[in-house]
Amino acid sequence: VMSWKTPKIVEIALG
Amino acid sequence: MTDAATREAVGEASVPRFARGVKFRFDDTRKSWMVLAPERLFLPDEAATEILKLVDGQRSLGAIIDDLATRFDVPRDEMAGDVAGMLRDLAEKGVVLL
Repeated sequence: VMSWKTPKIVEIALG
Repeated sequence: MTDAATREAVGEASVPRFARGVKFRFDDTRKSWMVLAPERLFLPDEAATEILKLVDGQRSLGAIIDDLATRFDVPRDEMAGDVAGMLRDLAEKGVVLL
């Protein structure tokens, strides 16, 4: 069960 | 930029695909999906993951929006803004090609 919400993405720098 | 302007800028006929060297996969350790790009790691939430699962280089942006709007019972216009906005951001980072 998942309600839709504005997508979010966390960015991680690997360098 | 309005949702409509965002979609216009991207174009629903465009077929998004991951850029060369970018991998979208499930990580067994974290038990979550992630996008691996050169020197960068992206951790999508549930909604972002549902969008990325449909980025296969075959479906058009419009088809992705239709699929998700139907599946989650969200007004198409709202879904279009979310999907186009997210993919445009990823395109600006060189992760997705539109």
